[in-house]
Amino acid sequence: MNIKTFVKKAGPYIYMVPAMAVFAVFLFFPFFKTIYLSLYKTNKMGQAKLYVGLLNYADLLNSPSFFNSLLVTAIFVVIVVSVSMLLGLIAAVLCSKTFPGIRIFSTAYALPMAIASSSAAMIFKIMLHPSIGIVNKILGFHINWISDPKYALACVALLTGWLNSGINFLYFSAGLSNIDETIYERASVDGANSIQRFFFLTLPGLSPIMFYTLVVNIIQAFQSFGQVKVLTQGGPGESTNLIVYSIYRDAFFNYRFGSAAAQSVLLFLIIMILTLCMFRLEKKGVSY
Amino acid sequence: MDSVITTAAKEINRDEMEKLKRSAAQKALFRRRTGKFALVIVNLAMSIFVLLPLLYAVSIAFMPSSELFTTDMNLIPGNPTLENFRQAMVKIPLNRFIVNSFIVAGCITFGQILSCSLAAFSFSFLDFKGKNLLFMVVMATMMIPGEATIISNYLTVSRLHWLDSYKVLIIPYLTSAMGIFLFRQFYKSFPISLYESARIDGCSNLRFIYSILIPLTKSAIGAMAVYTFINAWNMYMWPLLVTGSDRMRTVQIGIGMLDSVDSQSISMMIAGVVMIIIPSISVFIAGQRQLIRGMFSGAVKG
Amino acid sequence: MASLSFVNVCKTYKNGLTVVKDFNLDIKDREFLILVGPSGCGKSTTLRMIAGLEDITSGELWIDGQLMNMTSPQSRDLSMVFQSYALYPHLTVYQNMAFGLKVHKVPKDEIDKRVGRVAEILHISHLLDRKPSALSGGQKQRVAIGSVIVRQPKAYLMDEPLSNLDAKLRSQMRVELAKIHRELGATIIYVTHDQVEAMTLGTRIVVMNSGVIQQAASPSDIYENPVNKFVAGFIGSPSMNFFPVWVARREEKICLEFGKNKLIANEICSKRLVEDGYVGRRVYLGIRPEDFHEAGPEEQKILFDVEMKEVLGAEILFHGRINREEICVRLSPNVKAEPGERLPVYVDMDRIKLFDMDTEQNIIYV
Repeated sequence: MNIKTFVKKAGPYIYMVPAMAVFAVFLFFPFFKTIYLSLYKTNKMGQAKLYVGLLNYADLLNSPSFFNSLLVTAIFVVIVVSVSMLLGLIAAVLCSKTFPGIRIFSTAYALPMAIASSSAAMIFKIMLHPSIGIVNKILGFHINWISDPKYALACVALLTGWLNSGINFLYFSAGLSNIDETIYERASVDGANSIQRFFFLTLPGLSPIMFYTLVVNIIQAFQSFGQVKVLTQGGPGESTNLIVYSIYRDAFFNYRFGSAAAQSVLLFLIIMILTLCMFRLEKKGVSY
Repeated sequence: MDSVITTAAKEINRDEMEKLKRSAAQKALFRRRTGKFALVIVNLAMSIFVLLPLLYAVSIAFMPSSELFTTDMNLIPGNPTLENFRQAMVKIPLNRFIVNSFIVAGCITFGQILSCSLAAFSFSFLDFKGKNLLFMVVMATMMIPGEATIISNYLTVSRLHWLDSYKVLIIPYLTSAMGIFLFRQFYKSFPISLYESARIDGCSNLRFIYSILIPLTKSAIGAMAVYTFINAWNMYMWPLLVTGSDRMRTVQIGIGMLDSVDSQSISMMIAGVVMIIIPSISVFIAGQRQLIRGMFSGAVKG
Repeated sequence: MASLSFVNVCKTYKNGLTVVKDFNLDIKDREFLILVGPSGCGKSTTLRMIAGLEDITSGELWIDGQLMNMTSPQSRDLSMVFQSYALYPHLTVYQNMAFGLKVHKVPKDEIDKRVGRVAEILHISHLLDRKPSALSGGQKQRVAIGSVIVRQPKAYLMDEPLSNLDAKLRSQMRVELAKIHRELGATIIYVTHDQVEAMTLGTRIVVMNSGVIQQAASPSDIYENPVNKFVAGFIGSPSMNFFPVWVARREEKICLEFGKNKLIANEICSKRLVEDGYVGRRVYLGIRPEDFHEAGPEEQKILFDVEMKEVLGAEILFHGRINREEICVRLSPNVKAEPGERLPVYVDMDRIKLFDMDTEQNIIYV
């Protein structure tokens, strides 16, 4: 094979080299390395020292702390997804018909997607401040929200829900605009009032995009880190020790890279299974 | 028959009819106007609710710290001041952080656009062995969450002595599966005849990409640029792990240095937060139409 | 079934555009009334005003003796077929047809009965479990019509329901619609831009142009006795020919002259032309392609320059010029003439129409 044919054959692959190189080094390799690490106990430098097979996993599955993380994460994800999708849906419905100023309002509703989780957390920290925070001033309480194990998780979840509402607004707005206008007119003439039109036409019309949005929201909620680190650091008393934060703590404060790796693998499996279940469910759901 | 009767009825009640008509017309106009008006009001309330954290932050940022600790509901600063901003910039090397973030986010954006558009070009216009398999592999990477790789990546870069530098912040993020997907969707609607005729005219692939493809897919590039820049600007976990010195910190981490709860620092901290939010919000507002068009041009599942 | 009344109805949009001007019409019970006209003439807007989907800017709309301007579409007890059918994409055919009844809280077994019966009439019983995406255009159209019939409303509104179908289906559905009208005894208000549909389906036709009613009459009335040049030219296919002629008095007779041609007006025409003072002026002469003949009295002869020929089997259409005016002439297949030839044709003077040059009104309107 001479140079010319080589160049010709290799051509297509060459364009892929930059992207594939990055994927290989920073995505594929570490993914397998994590699985590898999870089977070992490591030293402080992260080198795999002692092969322990599935011991890390067994320890985790026997540890109340891990189950607490799972529970806390599950509650968190439920709150986040419901709040963010509700906010996004309401905002999208409010912007479905044009009115003066709709552009400005649309921008406002989508804005949370441009804000970093850590920045938002700092703002919320002050909003939830026991004495000067606006939340206590409006509600008239004096609760120290973040330090109270009863409320801390809800606060972090509401913050995350607020952050995600922006992108949900965009998805739902796109979904709403895909619904054919004339079926609303027909429903009007058929006798349906606006509430009936919403439940019989709008919601079913949104269900394809709702499914997609739900999957994206869940995956994103599982990966929440910045807000926990800034607001509660996993506390008070492990009440906000989401799995991602627990991985971070295990690896970078306790230097137990093996155990952290095992948690990562478990988290990955949980997300995979959840996504697969959802896809299976979607096939049985509303179809067009 | 019926219309005769109704006509007769109308004759009898001419006056009442006029009154009815006028009030009916007025009611219609009123209803239409209040309909739009009510929408504006409801939206105003809702958007204030949604933007409350940001509005609150801006208000505190301009409020002198002495005004902060009161039990009244003071939402609007009585004596707005720029002092908090000045202090934030002095207390921590905020300029340095901002510069770092701009460099990192800018390089990542540029790098992703380059690598993703090239890879997508290959997938869309060229034919080669294993094309479909490779594409599936790329799409599969979207399923791998950050946590599954972050530990190993940290160990890798620390072994390479890359810690606390620009490279460690930029290189791992120089490509993204979503970006490749986005560009490929765009290229799908690109007329392949344009490519074929360019090839017939003797145009090399690179030349084609540079002079024909890129100018015509500006909106995909715009959308990708906005999205990638904002995400890169907002990155938290990775910079937290791999940078430690003041010299190399990015804004999201650096701002944490202002994090504390005594009154003077609160105003300063919020002022700092407001300052680092401004770039990402500005990019978003400027590019939102591009972004939305890019995200939803056939890329939405339906 | 219901009767409707429009009294001085106008519709103006916010930007100042007036699409319907001073509309006055009484629609009787059980009529098949057709609103026809070119695009933008305001016919769809008028239909939507009946449905309540458009506000009435001024004037009154009465349905069954009740003023309906302010009533919401939901409460008008009407039913509408849309041009795009507007089938609910996530519901089956059965559910689509049952929707209006469900909303009106009709009991389930009644819904079952009605939907079943209508599905049979329209031959869509085998489609009841399908979703609209699995239906052909013709099937969707029947579902749309079926949905409207099960409701048993006061009146049926139809907005160009056949325009998305191919020619064959369209003529089939025309027959079905006529049957439905007869069997149900329904009041149907139907919008179309296709004058063939208008002529074949309607009991009464309303021709509209630029928001104004031109003429409201039965199909044959409109055909024989059009009120102005627009209506005359709009109805009838191929459309009426128009060309300007001079009205002159020659030796006790009224002649219509153009170029070297001279036609003698019949009694009725002559009388009207003289009475209304048209002698010595120009008027439009209108003649339908089918009112030319290949033989006749010498005084009705004109010379026609053939430019093109369309052989349709049962007839031939000749396109060409008379005195430089473009004319279409319909003759029997026996006529042998080729492009480039000059053919003598004979005008049926009892069937010509004459229109004022300025007002375009029909001079011999009855």
